[in-house]
Amino acid sequence: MNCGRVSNQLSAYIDRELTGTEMLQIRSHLSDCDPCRAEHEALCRVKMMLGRLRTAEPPPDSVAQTVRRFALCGVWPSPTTPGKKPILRGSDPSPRLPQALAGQRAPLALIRPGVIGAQRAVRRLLGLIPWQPLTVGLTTAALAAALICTSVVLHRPRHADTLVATKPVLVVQGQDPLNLQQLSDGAPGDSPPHDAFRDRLPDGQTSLPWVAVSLQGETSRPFR
Amino acid sequence: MNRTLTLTQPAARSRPATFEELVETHYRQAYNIAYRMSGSATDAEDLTQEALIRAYQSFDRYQPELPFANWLYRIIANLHVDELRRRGRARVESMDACAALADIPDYSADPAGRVLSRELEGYLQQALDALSPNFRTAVVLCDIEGLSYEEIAEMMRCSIGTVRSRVHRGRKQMRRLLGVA
Repeated sequence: MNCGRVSNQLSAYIDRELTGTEMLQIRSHLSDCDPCRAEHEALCRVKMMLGRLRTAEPPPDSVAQTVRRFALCGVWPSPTTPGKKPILRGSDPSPRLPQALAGQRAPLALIRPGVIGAQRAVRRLLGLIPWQPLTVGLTTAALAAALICTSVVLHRPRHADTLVATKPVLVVQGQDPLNLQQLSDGAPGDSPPHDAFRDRLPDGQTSLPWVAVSLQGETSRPFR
Repeated sequence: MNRTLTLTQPAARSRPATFEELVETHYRQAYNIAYRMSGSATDAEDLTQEALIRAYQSFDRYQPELPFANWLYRIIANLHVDELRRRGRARVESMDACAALADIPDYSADPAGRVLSRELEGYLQQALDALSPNFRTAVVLCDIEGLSYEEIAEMMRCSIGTVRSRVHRGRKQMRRLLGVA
């Protein structure tokens, strides 16, 4: 093994990241080669000094402050596992929040608990369903049936009591609606009613409350 | 060097770990790495917190079979490289002052260990700052954090051969900058 090759592998040798054979070869070379041995010692010294650097200490309470900052950003207490979104506990606000995080999350802090709760509820419900082909089919069929029923209800034929008329009519309980234009030329609200209508009044009554609506069609359904 | 708390260990697996616990466990070491990479307490704090935010946001992509610390260190390293690119490479300073370090004590003859002087620490940090980001990351992770080449390769997403080269070239540059004989 020549000096060039040894020199390139000296750091790996120092870190014991070579195979046993390579380690032995380099060790043998170092015992015979002064320049390579000097380089080896210098690199060892560099590594040793770096390893003896003090651990840089963060400012006091920086860990607690960081946790509080996370809490302020709407991260709420909950256990979590790797692979899922983590949740922090703690809620004390911090006076110094990274602006990017604040801008991104603080507005959501107020609605986040509700959103998270709703999401969890939906996930739990979905988690209760055994997603087999049969259940998928049944669920699809149920959804289709619900859709059809909704459509039927929304588009059902209008009932007479919801009829919208375009012409004034008199509505007498138990009788067909009477179109005022058929009774007289009077305007809606004329009182007493037309003679033709008076004949239909129950005994002892000279007038009836009447309802004027707008009639959209020429005819109306029986109002019973 | 506490980098061994992983979520795969029985104590951690027995109950779900909260992100807060991970922060409390790894903050100091993450800060140390950030400090050695950035060379500034302010930058280190920002870097650590930004890395934690990124870790939180992408925690669902974290593979629990790997140590959380390594994953966090990789985020720190990537953020630091991004930050340097954003700022531009205006960082390399002259290390003439370190020529006085030719008489660095031979710690190999001092097995009990000795704490480096503040002055020497300053020179070492300057030399680290003068390295390119890839070399610095490899050297910091290897010599300060004591990670294996395999772990560093995984973190830096490169081959073990690349890590070997970066560590070696980084150390050689450190040696030259510090004037270590």
